Amino acid sequence: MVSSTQNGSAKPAEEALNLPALVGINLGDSFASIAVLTKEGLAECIANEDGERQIACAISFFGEEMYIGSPAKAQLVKNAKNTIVGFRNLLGKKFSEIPQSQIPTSALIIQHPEIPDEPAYKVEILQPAPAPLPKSTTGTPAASSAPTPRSEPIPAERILTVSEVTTIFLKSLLQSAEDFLGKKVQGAVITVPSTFTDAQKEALENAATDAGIPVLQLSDESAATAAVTTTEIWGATLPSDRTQLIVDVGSSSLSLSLLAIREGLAHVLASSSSTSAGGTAIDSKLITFFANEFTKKTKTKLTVCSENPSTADARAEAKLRLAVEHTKRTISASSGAATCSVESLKDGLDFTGSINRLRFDMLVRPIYDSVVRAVVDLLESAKIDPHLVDEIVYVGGTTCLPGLDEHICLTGGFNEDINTPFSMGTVIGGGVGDPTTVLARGSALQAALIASLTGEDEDLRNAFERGSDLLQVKTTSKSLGLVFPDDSGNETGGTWIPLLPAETTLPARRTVTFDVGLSEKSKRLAFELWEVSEGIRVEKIKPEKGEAVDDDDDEEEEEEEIEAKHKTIVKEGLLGAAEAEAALGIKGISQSKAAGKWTTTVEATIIVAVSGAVDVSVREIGKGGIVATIKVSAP
Amino acid sequence: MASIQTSILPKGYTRPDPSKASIAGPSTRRLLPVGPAFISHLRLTLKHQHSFEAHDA
Ligand SMILES: Nc1ncnc2c1ncn2[C@@H]1O[C@H](COP(=O)(O)OP(=O)(O)OP(=O)(O)O)[C@@H](O)[C@H]1O
Ligand SMILES: [Mg+2]
Repeated sequence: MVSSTQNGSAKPAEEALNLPALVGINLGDSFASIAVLTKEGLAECIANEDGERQIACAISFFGEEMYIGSPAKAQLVKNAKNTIVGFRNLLGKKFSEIPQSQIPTSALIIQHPEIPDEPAYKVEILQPAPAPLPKSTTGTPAASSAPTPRSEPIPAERILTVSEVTTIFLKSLLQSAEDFLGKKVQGAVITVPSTFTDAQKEALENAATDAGIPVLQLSDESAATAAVTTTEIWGATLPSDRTQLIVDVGSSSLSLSLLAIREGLAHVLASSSSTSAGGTAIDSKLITFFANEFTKKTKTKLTVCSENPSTADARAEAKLRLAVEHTKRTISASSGAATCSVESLKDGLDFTGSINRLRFDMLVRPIYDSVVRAVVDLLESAKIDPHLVDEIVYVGGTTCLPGLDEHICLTGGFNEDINTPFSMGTVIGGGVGDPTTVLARGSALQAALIASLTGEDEDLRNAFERGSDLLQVKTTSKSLGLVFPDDSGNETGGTWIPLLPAETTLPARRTVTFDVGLSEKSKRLAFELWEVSEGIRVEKIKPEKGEAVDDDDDEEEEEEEIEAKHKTIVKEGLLGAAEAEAALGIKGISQSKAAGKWTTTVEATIIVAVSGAVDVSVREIGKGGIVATIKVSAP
Repeated sequence: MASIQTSILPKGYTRPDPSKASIAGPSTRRLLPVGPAFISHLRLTLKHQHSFEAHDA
């Protein structure tokens, strides 16, 4: 549960003073978060002075006051026209590029009065009365030497550019971080959506610099995610070579990235992003649901989420929109029913409604469906069978919903034992898989990584600059491995020893240790180097009579075949073969399973150069062991 | 300890001739600049001319 007292205040603890002065900032369009490094070298999100870890990206002006974060968001009910939200997505855009909203629910975006084609916000404020002029010490005698009494603040208009708003907001995040750390921040990494253009990135970087943030890097959201998911603590049981699908569902956008992770190195295989699903759409469903409940209970008509702004109960809708934030978080955190309470929703009538997980998941099913559709489309366009995806990672507030995970796993066509933060149990209780913290934590880890490059490694920092060519690499396009031939008659014609998967960055070196079986009489060992591709074999299984599906309506589905998918290895080409007489064969000792069997332990090493030339050596481990090698020239 | 164990080579096995002279042409990708593995890769490419021997030395 999100509790506002969790983690107490942002006052510096004794311990915090010893932490590195580096931070990660996730700047979303609707929420931001801040992470610092722990003394164990991990990263954790901190709460701001309001006790929030998900800090609403909102600024509101009320009289002489300026509110930031959730107090500002609360102003959307009574002071919407002076409340600014959704500014991140407008950074670096021209006024003419921004669609004008038909139903303004927050401060209007106007053409800046002086700067051509520049979007700006106009808000009403109260300006403190001008201070009395200081008494002049020289020359003309002052009209009166008595101080002018302080007068009332003056109503005024304030024009803020999107950059200025961003700067104000980022400054408050910096302040929260510095309050927590008890010292000045020396370096920060800030996230950017992968859809940001150079102009947008530039605008963000300038806004951050103006806020006094020493920016080490703007990190793409997919990279910030990978900074976390390639660490040891992410999932010790996950294979170090894997295909990882990142599903980021925020408030208004859905971004997907398919990554190849190879022993800590990651690159994007395919990605997509759209505004087809998000938390705001879920809110609208919930608001409509609760508004109907309200009408049922009170017989008072309540129109929300209407196309026609003149008939809508705008203030009631704004109140519900704030309230369902809590409802959704409760649904995510516990399996019980979640409530939604609003005081004086309409005509002075209070409202309290509730919804359980089952009903909730049914209600928002269309949004879950569009997420799955986007996933299926991405995998199809990348020509990757869902069964070849090893892991799904969730990012963004909306992916906290367990129903979404279930829906993706059940209908996305994945292997049933696919790893997700839910299946690994790392979402609840501030675990490493908490989707609302991944981006900030990844950014903090990035800040630590970049800051560690000093002395003779200082030049490596170039690689973290925008558009660096140092990121351009060659990767293998197919997998490589050894076949130790035998009589088994299996699909590879022997024991398959994978050495190097496809999509591995070159140069690459891998070593595998295993036992080679020898016969009593002959100590000959031989192996072949094959290039292969991973495929999927679909097997149609007829359900056995009697043990058919557990429902009772199975008569209609009688004899329906079940499809089972298996990963297969398809041989593409033989690159070479080698053989030798083992020198260190040993006979298994009597108690062991291998009793009486002859084996020798070998170490196979593959090196693939940037050119694509391959060197394989198989070496018996121990003094006097033999070595057999295969060399393949570059393509 | 080694967990894989191969079976015995068939008696009449003869080494086949390669059917390909080299691996499929490498693809070009863009690495995500994250993690210690990326720094190792940078060192390997920038300081050791892509050579593992130079890197290990
Ligand atoms: N625990 C939760 N359960 C369900 N929804 C949540 C939870 N926490 C946050 N959300 C929702 O997630 C959304 C915000 O997600 P996030 O902070 O990732 O968005 P963003 O990055 O700011 O926006 P976007 O990516 O759309 O530009 C909001 O709709 C919020 O209501
Ligand atoms: Mg987001």
